[in-house]
Amino acid sequence: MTRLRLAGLLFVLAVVASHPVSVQENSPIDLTGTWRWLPYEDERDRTPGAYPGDYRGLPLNDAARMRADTYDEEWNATSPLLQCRPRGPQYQAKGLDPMRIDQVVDPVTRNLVALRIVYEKTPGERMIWLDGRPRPSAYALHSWDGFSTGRFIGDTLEITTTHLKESYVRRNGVPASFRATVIEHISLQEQFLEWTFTVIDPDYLTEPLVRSATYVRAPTLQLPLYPCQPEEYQPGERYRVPHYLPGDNPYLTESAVKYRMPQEGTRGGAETTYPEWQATGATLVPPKEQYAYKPEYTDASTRIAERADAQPARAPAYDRVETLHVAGNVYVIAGGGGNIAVSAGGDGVLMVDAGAAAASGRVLDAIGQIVRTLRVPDPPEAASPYSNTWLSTHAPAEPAIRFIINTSDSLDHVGGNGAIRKSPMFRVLGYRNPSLSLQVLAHQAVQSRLAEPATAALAPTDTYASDRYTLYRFFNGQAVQLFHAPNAVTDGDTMVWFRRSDVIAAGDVYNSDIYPPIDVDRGGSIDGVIEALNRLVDLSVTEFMSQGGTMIVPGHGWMGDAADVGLYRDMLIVVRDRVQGMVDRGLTLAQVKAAKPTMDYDPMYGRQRGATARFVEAVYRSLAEKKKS
Amino acid sequence: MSMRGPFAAIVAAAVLSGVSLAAHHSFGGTYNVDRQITLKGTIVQLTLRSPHSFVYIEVTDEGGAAQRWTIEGASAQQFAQQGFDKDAFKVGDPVEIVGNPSRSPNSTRARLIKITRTTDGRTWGSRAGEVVN
Repeated sequence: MTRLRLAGLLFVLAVVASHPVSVQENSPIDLTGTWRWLPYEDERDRTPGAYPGDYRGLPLNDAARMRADTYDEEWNATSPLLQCRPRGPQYQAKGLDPMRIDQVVDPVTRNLVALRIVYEKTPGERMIWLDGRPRPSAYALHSWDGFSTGRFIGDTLEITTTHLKESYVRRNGVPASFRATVIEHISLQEQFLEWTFTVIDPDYLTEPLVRSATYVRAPTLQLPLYPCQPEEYQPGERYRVPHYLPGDNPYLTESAVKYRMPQEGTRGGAETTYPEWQATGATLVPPKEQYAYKPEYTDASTRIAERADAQPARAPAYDRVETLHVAGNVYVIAGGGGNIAVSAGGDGVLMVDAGAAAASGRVLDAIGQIVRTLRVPDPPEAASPYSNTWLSTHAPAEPAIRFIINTSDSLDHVGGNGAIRKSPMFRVLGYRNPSLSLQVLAHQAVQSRLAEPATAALAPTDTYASDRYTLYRFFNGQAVQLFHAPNAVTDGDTMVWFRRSDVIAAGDVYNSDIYPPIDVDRGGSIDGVIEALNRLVDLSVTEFMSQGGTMIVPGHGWMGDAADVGLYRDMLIVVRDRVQGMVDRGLTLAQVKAAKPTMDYDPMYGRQRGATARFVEAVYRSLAEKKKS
Repeated sequence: MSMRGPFAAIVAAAVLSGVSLAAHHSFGGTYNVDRQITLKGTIVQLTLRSPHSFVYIEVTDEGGAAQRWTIEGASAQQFAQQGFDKDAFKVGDPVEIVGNPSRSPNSTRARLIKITRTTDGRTWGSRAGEVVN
């Protein structure tokens, strides 16, 4: 028996060895090829677009309702930043676009690394990473397509997407927050591609929003070119943000009349999406004609600011300081107070802001990390007068901080000035006597404000006082320009433009996820911030379809581009107009706060303790004081 | 005719031709498709582009003042397929335009339904069966 078993085993091994290695499949289904949408779902929603006020089927909260109720679609039509805005995965599957899916294969291992999706109307390629790579930093740029990873679950591809820009889930103003996550499931049914996409939005939805779309293989279809070229501003439309004041939108009952539905049903909400609500709906009477509907907002989303204020006060730990490459030779150090933009190269290190005092040790460590891992830049043009400097000082072994530019006098931006100037890394350019050389540069108002003995060690050594100032020399191969933003967050705000890298450090006039910390007592005003953001948008260019191009380093939060700044500016204009209307009607500050003029934006920007109350008060005071003058 | 018919026809035509509708923003949200206005003026600019094309006309209001109106239409590619190319109308043409007005208060924007050059009657329309004639 033993011999027989041995003979059998040898036979099996021989059979296996005589056959070629079996082919390994890189994915359980073949999604590659060209696909065309089948537009038999939600025809009215898709073409020509949902009626204003039609929120049927959406599990939205009151903050989202208020955003949509006050939304005027002409805003989308008139803004060059929005006309070519691509649809994100919050909506793309219903976007009519044909698409092509390709495989991206590692040339060495031949493993499937990613799927690449190109829609007809897209600024680039949407990558679905299948190689297990981690998600980007919380401070990384958000894009219209976001960052997507995928995995196969049986015969279904599951895609998870984060890092999305603010967008929409319906084209009548129902918003999708930049905090939203989208989970997509794609499977095949013969020649059909079934695409389910679920939006999970902690800011605007109370339950996941699940929708689906169907595509059909179109193997001979070539994606049309899409040279999206927005309309320019028309006379009087630059910086105009069409919107309705709360309660003023005359169209909010239009869909109820046209669909012969109860108005309560058109308002959406998770409860209206369940079959049980049919019994409730049956007791309600649809309006026969449109009327002036005055919505009230009462759900939990109206209390975001109060909930933030109820959090215990905590001193920042600064224990997660991160470095990111932004563009060219500009990096950012985040998590050490205000964001610090850093130009690093052959000339040494230029810092825009120094972070909080308590974070200085970690900030200096981060600068060392940037310099030691410096990417070798492209050689400068032969015409550059600083080529010799570059050649002789390129990639210094030890970090050398040459000077600091401060964007304001706020302590989370200037707090580190003292410690960094005392650091051995701080080796200024210029005179043998360092005290004669440029060390810290800011607007004159910053120096004046920090002149008190308690803050004198943080004060700039050099100042400028005009509307713009250009650094006296190229630094790391590029011009560095400072722009004063008068009476914005304070009276001494500066934006710093690295011209060749095309990066602008905006300081606190732009923050990706908090309201601007306007300080009226230090000369700040809401109009000044809006004016500064207009200038920032005008200085910036996008690469294509409202994305990329000039990179904006915000005072706090993740990196942005002109579209992010434009959306932020438009939010401020909407809030300004609401508060202005209340000031004009003679409301007191307490009455304005009670009216919650920022309720619909608080989920995105009001999650910091005390921030909303301070912001509303600053807006009110700057408008009330303007009215007096 | 209700607007649903033409839209459905355009969708169907787009699907059959493999060309999608651009419509980044919502026409139904931007314009009041239940209303029509007629404007008489002179073309001062014409941009055939994606996502949408525009005819800009100068209209003289009741007080005698010139007013610039922005008339929005389909993308350049869709327009071209429907016979509206760069030679169809020219800057300086006196025209009569039928359109859907903006929903936005005090707006001088409209969505193009029909345009007629008043000197020779040359017409283009987006309703079913209408093309340049």
